[in-house]
Amino acid sequence: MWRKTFIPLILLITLCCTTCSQNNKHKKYNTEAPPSCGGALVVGVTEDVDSFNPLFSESSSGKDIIHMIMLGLADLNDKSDFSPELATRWERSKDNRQLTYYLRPDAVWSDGVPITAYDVKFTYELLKDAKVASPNQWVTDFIKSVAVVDSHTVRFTFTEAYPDQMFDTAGEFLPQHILKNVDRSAIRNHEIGQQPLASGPFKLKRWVHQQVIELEPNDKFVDGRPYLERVLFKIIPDKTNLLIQLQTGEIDMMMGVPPKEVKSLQVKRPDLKVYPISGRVYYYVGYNERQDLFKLKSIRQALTMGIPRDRLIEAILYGFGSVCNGPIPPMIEWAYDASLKGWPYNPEQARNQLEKAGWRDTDGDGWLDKAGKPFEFTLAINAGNQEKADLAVVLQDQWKKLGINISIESLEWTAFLKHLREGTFDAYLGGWSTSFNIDPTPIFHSSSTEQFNYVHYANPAVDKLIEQGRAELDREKAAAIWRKFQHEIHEDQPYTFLFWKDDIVAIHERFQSVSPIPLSAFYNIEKWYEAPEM
Amino acid sequence: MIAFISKRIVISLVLILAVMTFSFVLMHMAPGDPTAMYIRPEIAPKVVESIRHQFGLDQSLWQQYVRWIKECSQFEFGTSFTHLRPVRAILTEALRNTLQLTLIAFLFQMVIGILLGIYAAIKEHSWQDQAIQSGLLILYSIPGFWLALLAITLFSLKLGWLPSGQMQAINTSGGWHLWLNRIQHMILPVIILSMPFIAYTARFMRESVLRILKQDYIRTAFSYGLPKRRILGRYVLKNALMPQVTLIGLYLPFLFGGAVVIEHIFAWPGVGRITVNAIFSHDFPLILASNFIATVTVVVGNLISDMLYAVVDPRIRHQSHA
Repeated sequence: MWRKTFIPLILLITLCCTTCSQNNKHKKYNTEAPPSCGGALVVGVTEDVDSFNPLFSESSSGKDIIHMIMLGLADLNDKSDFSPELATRWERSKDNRQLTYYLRPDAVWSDGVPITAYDVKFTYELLKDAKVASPNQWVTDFIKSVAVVDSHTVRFTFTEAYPDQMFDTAGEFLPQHILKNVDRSAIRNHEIGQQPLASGPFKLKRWVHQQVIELEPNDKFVDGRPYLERVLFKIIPDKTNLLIQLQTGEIDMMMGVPPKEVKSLQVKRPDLKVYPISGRVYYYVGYNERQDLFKLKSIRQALTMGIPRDRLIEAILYGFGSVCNGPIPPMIEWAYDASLKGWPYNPEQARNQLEKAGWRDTDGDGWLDKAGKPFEFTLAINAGNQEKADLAVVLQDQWKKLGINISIESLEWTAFLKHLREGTFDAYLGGWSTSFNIDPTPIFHSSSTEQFNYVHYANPAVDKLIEQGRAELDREKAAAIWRKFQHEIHEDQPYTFLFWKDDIVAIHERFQSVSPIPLSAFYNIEKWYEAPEM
Repeated sequence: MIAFISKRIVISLVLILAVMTFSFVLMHMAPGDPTAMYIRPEIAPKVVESIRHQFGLDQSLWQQYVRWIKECSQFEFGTSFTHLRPVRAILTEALRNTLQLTLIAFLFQMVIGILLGIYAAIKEHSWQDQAIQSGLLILYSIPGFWLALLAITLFSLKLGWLPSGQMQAINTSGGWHLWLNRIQHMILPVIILSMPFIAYTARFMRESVLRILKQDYIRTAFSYGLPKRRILGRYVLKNALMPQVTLIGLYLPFLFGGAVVIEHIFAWPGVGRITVNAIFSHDFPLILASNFIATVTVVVGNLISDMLYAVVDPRIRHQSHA
């Protein structure tokens, strides 16, 4: 019985194991060879796509793939300017309240139906309709109407002139001929989200839910076929396993490589190229200004000066980040003020400022106090984020050196949000993801205390600058306004801005023309190709 | 007998309804909202409200409950808030994948566990028995996720023998290649998943065999000079296996609920992984449907086992008459 059971089992396992053994020897590739069609890129991602409908997709993998299978009218390039996609050109009216796009007449959907201005108009009607309930409805806030001038010309009319008109209008759109007779409230769950029509370089070949998404070249793509024969997205929810698959060569590309793994990855797999992409996410400590403790800006400045932010980047991000001095990211080069010197790590000056505000250690117990009350507060963080938990401990330790006693409260996400909205917190550790259009209104405008200005920051000068910056169409003038805004925010320190976190992308060296940018790790994917082995 | 079965069916239906109601209330009482993911600076509160309306979350709790019970009675569980697909389709796919993994793991652990248990019992107090007992204790104590990561590091990363996750390689076509590939992908998760259950079954089996070996009729068989192999095979094993059958009922929730941690680490697209993700994103229709399936499975499983007991053991029938 033992022999009958175990011998075939052992043989089977041996067979499986030997056929699975992989050869991971470092091969050489001819990177000088001209681009040629073929090859497959296997990308490892931690989450499946929710929908390929751009009106509803919330998953990051969904957004990445939609960008490959659908084009907008124009898209941001690596210089943060718009480049034509399905529109050949665009023009603004003299009063800057109208924007007209001229679409390519030769572009078709992957089912062969021409792409027209009617598709654009229809998509914006959907976006505006409350019955559709798209989370992207905000892009229509300033759009008064969308008119079809002719089948390949579409005109947007705005309620006011503002610089972000193209951000709101140039995105991906849907095929009207598929959706025009669909009940608007059923569009969220319509099968177009599962089997999308393509207008971009790739189209969906198969989607095995929770396992793999395969893209193939869209033979109807207006600019001809891309070089890569296939792009596969392998869904591996566990990040440790994803890293192992990157090391074993089961996947070629991974986004969001943990910073602490980069060094060992480069040693173990020298054939992987690592791209740290300039961060779009910043971490900060927000102080509740409704509390007396944080009312004075000198106190908030002192708290910032008690934190060695450059050392935090080494300790928490292993060097993959940069010090943050304000809410405008360095990737928006034209508006970012690189000359702004942040508050230095200076515990001595911090202590002086605190003393001037009346906070000193009168009883010699090591903690600052004022009128018999110690300087202590609670720092709220959301549970489940190890990076923030580590960061909170470091902050606690640093502020302890100033004589400030903080306790850390880790809250479930919804409870955390509830505290922020209701103002029942002292300070919190947060992170904001920024986009390419600058709009600090929901976070720093005094009118947004019911929205995301959780700290109740209010400065009329800042309000005015935000309003001016949002309305200024001339980029140079806008840049000057945003620089002033950054200076004001820096002076007021409603937040202790900590750091910008890099997004780390690793990809096999055989893929050429790869140039990830903050907007997308897959920038210009239609030009990527596989170098042949030498 | 009919009265007994009818009574059990009525109790089961009441139990299912009670559990469903309890899980519905509990889920709505818990902190969190399915629209929490839409709370960000660019999304106006009125948009979040229209999303809530589309999800039916603006209805009263009572209306939501009645609608949900109606849907469940027709085995239609609505549409997932996060997958934007019918819940029934999502769970059917996931359940199929989970059953593939758990059934094989179940059979594997039963075979290995029973064989180890018998061997340890026969060799009672020998070094082999001690080694098996200690080994099983270690297996039972090691956390599954750690063992899984260790196995992946050793067999996938260092030795390159076995794939580290998913159900099959992404570019394998049909035929025997596909089957071989699927077996390769199954080896690690099945073994890791079976480990604690092997320990459980083997210890249970050892005790069972030892108890029977001490029975008078076995001693009599030995004194008659019957061959040891015959005594073990015909009298001991047969009787020792009977209690194992009752254990199958305990395995039912595991079979359908999947193995959350193992599915997550090995990227196995099963029910456990889907349900945990649904819980984190407050995907009410998916959570409730998973709960419903788990409840029905356990209740029906117990109902069937009660009926079988009644068929096998006349005392239960008579008790129910009394």
